[in-house]
Amino acid sequence: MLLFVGHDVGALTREYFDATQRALFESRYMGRYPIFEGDNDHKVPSSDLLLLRKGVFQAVGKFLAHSYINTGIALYNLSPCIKEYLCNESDSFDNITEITVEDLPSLEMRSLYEKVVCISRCMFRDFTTETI
Amino acid sequence: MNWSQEFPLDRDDFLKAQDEAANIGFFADLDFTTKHLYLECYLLHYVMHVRKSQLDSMKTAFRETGVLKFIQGKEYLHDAAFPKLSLMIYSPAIILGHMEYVGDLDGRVKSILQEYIENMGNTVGNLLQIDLNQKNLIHISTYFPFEWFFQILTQYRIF
Repeated sequence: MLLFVGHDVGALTREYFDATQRALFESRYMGRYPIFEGDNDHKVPSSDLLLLRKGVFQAVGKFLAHSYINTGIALYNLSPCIKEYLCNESDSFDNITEITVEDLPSLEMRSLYEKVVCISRCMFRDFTTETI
Repeated sequence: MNWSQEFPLDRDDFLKAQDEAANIGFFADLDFTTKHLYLECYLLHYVMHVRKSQLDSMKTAFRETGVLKFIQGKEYLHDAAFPKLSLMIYSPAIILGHMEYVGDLDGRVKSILQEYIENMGNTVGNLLQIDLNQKNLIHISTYFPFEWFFQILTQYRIF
């Protein structure tokens, strides 16, 4: 018989939710399909339809809610725009204000976005010069 | 600007815009004050739109639990401490718990912990090792009153 000396203040519960949340962001569904993608603190769900059909994101939503209820910790590592959408009553993206270039998981799209911004700024400079 | 009405998204539109954006000449004929802004918004919002079904699935399950009652009204979305806090506590039978702040500690958390150390004196001092200035690592005794600590965090709206 093992005798543990200590006082349980919910450590195992927190350890479980913490370990599982880390696994959500770092491991792959069936060893092949990442559930989230992007940088730390800017994770977004994978756009793979297989995960959607298998009900993975439904399970993730329930898990995050229970993590918050039981430990007070959830949603960290997710992109701020995803957090805002999850906690917003509306199902529209119109009120989402926090999307930034860091939320783009694809390097190709980031490069394209930066090119657009760069060109826009160059044009703005030319435009103001001509106006003056 | 209501970009979603002015510039409705679908995959063909996006691919077309992508090609156009890659071609600098595309911008020569644009009205500067409008269309380039649409394109910027377009690229940023595209990341959400291609994941709408996934997000809605997650959101529906998230809301069905009733968790929003606890979250709404708190400033967690804008609190610097919240998204960077990760917590790992080993078995309660093991002497040390382990709390790690990935980023900078919120000033209020620092002051709460410092106050706790000062009040408890040497009783806890040997068990509580705290390095607030360098690695942001806090090692905490199993006997550290986590429930009290989280109540304080909640009170300060850090969660």
